[in-house]
Amino acid sequence: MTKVKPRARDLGLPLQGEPGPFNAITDVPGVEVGFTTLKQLAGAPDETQVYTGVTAILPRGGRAEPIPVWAGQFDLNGNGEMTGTHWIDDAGYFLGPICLTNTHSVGIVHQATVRYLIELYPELFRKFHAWAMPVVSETYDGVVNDICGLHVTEQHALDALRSAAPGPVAEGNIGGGAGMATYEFKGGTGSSSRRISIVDRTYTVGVLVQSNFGRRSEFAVLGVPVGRHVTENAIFTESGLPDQGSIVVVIATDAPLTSTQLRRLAKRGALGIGRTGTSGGHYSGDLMLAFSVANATPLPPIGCVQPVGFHAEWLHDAHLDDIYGPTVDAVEEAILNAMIAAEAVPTFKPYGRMLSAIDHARLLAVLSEYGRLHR
Amino acid sequence: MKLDRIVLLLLACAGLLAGGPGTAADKPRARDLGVPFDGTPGPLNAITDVPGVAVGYTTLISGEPPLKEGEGPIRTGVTAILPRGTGSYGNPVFAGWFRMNGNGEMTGTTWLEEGGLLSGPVMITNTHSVGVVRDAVIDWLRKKDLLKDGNYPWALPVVAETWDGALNDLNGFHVRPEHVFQALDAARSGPVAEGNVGGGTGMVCYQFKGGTGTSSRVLSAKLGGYTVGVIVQCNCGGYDELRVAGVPVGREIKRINVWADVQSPTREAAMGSIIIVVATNAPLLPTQLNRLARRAAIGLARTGTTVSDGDGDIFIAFSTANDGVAKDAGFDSPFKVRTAGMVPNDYIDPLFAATVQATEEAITNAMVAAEDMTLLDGRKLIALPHDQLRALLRKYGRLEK
Repeated sequence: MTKVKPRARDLGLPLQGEPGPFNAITDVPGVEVGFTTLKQLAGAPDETQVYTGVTAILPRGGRAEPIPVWAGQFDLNGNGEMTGTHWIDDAGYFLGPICLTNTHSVGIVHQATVRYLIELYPELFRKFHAWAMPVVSETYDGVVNDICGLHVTEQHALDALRSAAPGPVAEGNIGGGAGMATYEFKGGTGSSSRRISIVDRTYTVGVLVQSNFGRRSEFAVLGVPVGRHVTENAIFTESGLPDQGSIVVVIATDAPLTSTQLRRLAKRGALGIGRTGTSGGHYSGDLMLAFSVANATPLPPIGCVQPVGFHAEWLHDAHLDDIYGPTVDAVEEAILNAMIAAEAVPTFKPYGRMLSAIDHARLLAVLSEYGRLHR
Repeated sequence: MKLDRIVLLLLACAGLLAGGPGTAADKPRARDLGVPFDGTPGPLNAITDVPGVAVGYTTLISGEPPLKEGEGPIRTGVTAILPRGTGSYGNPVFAGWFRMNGNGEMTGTTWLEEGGLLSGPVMITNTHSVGVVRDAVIDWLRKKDLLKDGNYPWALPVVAETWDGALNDLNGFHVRPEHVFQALDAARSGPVAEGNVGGGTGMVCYQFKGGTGTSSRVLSAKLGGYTVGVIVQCNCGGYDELRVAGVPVGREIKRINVWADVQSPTREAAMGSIIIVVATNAPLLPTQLNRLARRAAIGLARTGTTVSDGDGDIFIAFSTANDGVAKDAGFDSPFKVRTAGMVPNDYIDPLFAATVQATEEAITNAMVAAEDMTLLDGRKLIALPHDQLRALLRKYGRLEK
């Protein structure tokens, strides 16, 4: 992936904190991201438009050993889906990837992930008794994508899973975020990270969002009410439609956090969203998931001798605030990165309009007017 | 896969001739064997005693062990429960849910929790077919032209599962979208087939053959005359744990231990899951339905389980009352307050009791209706033997005259 597009920081936005080398979720060691993107534009009103995809996040890459990650989740508003959360809530961990797609393709991606897990852990599933409970979440892209045409196939999801890699993460109209809208601008996939020092240790928090929420009038960038100034092409507002979107926030860290602490970290995802201005619409599925790759503890298959227990190191609660702040910052930045990388797409329903990306120069001009630019 | 056999089974299970989701009048149910239960059941003693509720199955049975991944044997299926029959989508029911143990999946609970509403069917299948069933429900809604203006343009279907990998080629992914459409299209009111049917086809319950079971209770007119109906997909419970009407049946009947290859002593006896769906026509609000769903756990407890770490015991409760109250308003319609009815909490206890009683009976019915099956490892998994059950009930002074 060649980085050619400017990101929020490249535009000079005064974002707080110190990001990791990629300023992406993949700054957390072992975390890999893969995408499949489907783009087929309709040339006429009666033609199908496919503009969607799958994002795969592998917390421990393609590691062939079944080692869960500790996790916690939180819903700001539940008009959405994230599978696998029953076990995350009860057990505080999950095994395998996190996949993001459109609302009506959760099922096929779920099935593909089951297949991927059987292939990745053949002994676990074939020799022993095992069941897969994949984490698959979604946001709605029916404005630019024929979502009811169910165009995502199992192969698309498997391609995203198998292409997952460390390193820079592409943003904007890519993967599950291909067809998203944010504050009635084109939205999509965005990522960011922060490095955190706690006593003599350094940890990383990485965030990936699939951003698809917000009314234009509410949109704020670093406290500046940009949405009140850039009012053109607010396609939902102009059609009398409410905020129909959602956002999925995935927070990864290598800090050794318990599932209780991770649930609290997940709640900070909502604060990061809040900074961009939304009040969390009724039609929104605003779902956060936080996981930690620390304390890697193998999961012996059912049928093997089980250990009595294991030892783990957990971060003292006194240091949590040092993680909370950078996490909120990284979520805010990931959303801005998604919007800044996104590109305009013609709409599918209603046909014939344009879901425009935010104009970088306009954004900078408004920020400059409010004295919020470095330069 | 032997398609002709599957089609035959589909016809049999769909009960096309009888017009119901499956009648098997010659099969005794727990009551017929003299198992004593509390409370008064409805005419069908099934979830379909709640007016409007429809149930449909697709049952897939073909092949025999040994396992050949991708080929079989296939012992699985799909169960569809439609709260308002074919009118279920776009006219949501108030709903609540409860998770007793979360080692399982029920999709759609994020929105159930937030909105308190269930629009569309509740589906139950095997663990690895949750995905295909979920998207197929959306495709079915689209084909029925229900994902259109006036309704939500998106759907968040409720699909739950239990694991049938001891009997079924689970990793062969044999459930396909057409099986989901068939179960949905076959959904009817009327008698409900039990045992090795639908999503419950390949279940193991207390180390006997498990499956699908149902029951209902009717309250007296003084208490509102409401009906509570329950359907279960039962796949849980340890060897020694099973109790029928309080009688320690699990300890008394010799049979194989499905999990004999599991070395951990704590896990040896109990692994599995149960999905419980509670329906009522009593006007209950989502908060009250959350409470009803918790009572399903109490009914489950009567059958003896202590609920293992491996269990995905997830319950959903809905009320068909307040018809139309939760319909989508549409963004362009004028603002108007809607009025919903509710049972006062002072009168909710009889509904709790009905839920507990019907859950206990539905589980027992699932086991009584289930039929022997050969496990993938070649051992024979027996269904609860009726004669031995009766003998034990007699021994412990619990046989109903």
